[in-house]
Amino acid sequence: MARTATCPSCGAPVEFKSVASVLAVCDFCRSTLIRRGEDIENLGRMAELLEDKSPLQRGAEGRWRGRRFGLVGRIQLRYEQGLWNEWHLLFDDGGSGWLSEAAGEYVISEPKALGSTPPAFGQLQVGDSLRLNGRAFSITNLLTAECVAGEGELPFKVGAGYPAPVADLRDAQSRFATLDYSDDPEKPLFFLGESVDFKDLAWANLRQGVPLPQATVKARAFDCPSCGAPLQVAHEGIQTVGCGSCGAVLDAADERVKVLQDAHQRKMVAPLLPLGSKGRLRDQDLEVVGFMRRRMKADGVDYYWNEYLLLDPENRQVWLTEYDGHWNVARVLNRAVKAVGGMIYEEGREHKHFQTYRAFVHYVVGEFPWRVKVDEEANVDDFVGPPTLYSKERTPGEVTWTRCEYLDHQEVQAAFRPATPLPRPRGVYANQPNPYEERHQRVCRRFWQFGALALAIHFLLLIFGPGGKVLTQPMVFTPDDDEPKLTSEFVLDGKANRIELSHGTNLDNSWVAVNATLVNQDTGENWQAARELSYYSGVDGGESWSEGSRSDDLVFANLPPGRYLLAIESDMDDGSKPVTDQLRISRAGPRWSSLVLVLLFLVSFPIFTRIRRGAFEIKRWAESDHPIVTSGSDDD
Amino acid sequence: MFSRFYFLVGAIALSLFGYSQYKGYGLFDDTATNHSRGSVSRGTFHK
Repeated sequence: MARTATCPSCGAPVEFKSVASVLAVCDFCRSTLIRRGEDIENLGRMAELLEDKSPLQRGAEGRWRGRRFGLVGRIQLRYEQGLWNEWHLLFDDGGSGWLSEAAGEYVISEPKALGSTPPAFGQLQVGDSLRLNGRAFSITNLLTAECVAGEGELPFKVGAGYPAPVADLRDAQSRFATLDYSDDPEKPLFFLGESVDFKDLAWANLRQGVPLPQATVKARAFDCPSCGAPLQVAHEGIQTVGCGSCGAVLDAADERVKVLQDAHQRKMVAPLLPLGSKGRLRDQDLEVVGFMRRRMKADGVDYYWNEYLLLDPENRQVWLTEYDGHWNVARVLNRAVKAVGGMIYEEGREHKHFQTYRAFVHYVVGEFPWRVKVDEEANVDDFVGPPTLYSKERTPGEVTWTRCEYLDHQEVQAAFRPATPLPRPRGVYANQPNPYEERHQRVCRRFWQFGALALAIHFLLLIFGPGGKVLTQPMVFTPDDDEPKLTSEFVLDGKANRIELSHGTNLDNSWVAVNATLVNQDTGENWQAARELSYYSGVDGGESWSEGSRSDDLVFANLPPGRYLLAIESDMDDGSKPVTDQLRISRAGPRWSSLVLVLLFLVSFPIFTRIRRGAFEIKRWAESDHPIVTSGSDDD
Repeated sequence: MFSRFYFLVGAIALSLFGYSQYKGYGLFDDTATNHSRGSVSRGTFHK
């Protein structure tokens, strides 16, 4: 229930809407009033808030997760990269929470009790994992901010200059947590919440006269204090402007436009997409507001790439990166990504570690919503799963994950239509989709279809085809037997018959020569074939050996229809033991050798496409920390 | 393009394969080639 007190300094009414509020700032005289039971104590005058063009104000109302809330107080904080607001929320159900507003990103969190005490602020490291109330978080930001001022009702005592050491944490489900060590460096306050979209909060009673987050607002023009070149800031929340004339980096958040960094002597760089370029990329209207050239060093060689900062009409940041004509659209994630064993699993596929390097800001021009500096350094880990790349950037105070998606340069060209056509990409980029991948997949699918069809043809013909046994007949060959042995008569129908004559003998260290004569009883035509079967085996030096074969197959082709019989004459060594032969005559049917041959032929195509795909991957990974080693590269 | 070419070539290969399997042709068949017409009288091998 709201309680109204009287300001001891000016007598104006001061309202405490939340029972959780212990501090209020008088709207009339800015006295800082602290509630001690029924008493109100005046702690002195609160510093003035800095103008920040926030669309929010005390009294604004919104809805989050079906709960209505109102903004009852604010703490304005300053940190190295700029200003941010912490709005004190009072929910309809009496609960309280915080809405964090920084660089166009909004996070709502509520105070929660901690099940265990986390490490002290000084023991925390960016990137460390921390388990809080059963949830695994990753520390993404560590900073000690300074309170600029406060207004309205607040649940604790603040004042200008108060240090606020805080740790921001995120998990893989976009949950956001803050450990606030302001009161106690050993026992922090714990806040749990999530990133929210400004538009989704169903706002009412927003600040009048301040536009909602928009990309383009009335430009603020000024001259570069370093070289005098005319500059302007055309977007909300801009902290830094890089002078395109002299390279000086300027603090645009300060009305006096201080020089953050003097003009450096590096050669000016002309962005491929000029600042101010507007375009529609993937259904999003975007404007190029900042350009940054970054560099890394590998094997003593400097490599440079370009990054473009773009804003959409709602002031959301989108990045375009370009290296050697290869483009990526990148968005900073509001969640942590878990890397396990040099790999992350995102979007249903593995992203393998590609490269770890130190990235430096080499050149800056245009507007940036944080205080960017030339030679600013970050440790970067790239994880690749084409067409996406996840990049982890780590500075001493912050860890951010960025999702990059490969763009065809023609898509960028079509979106922004720069006067100078964009150069064609050179080489293979880390997350460039493998152009041979889809073809390989198609060919593989086709191979499995062909293979299944070949097997089906083979087995169907084995079962239902015209091939099959005509007759089997046992025979015995003896050395003294000179008379030909005749088979039963058999009939062949149809044209161009093929029959197969198979011998299955019991030869044992002996041989037999067989002269087969196939006779057409109707026409007298005959076909002759002489074969020698031999089989020898033994043991030599403790190892068994064998040579020759006890069986043999022979085909008689192009046989006209008719009645046939087969005459077999044999010859063998005198004194040899009789040889029994299981003679089989069959119509020739499907050949296993033909099945193997056709499968080998069919598989040669996917093997070829796989080699092409692999060659592309070798080129891709050649630039990584994990090049694919091939026998060819061993020789190099 | 390449997959279309594969489809065409594969279809031809499978057609040839199916025909040869039906007819019992094999690339590695040992085929009797010694053929004579009428050199053996009809009654020669009559049992």
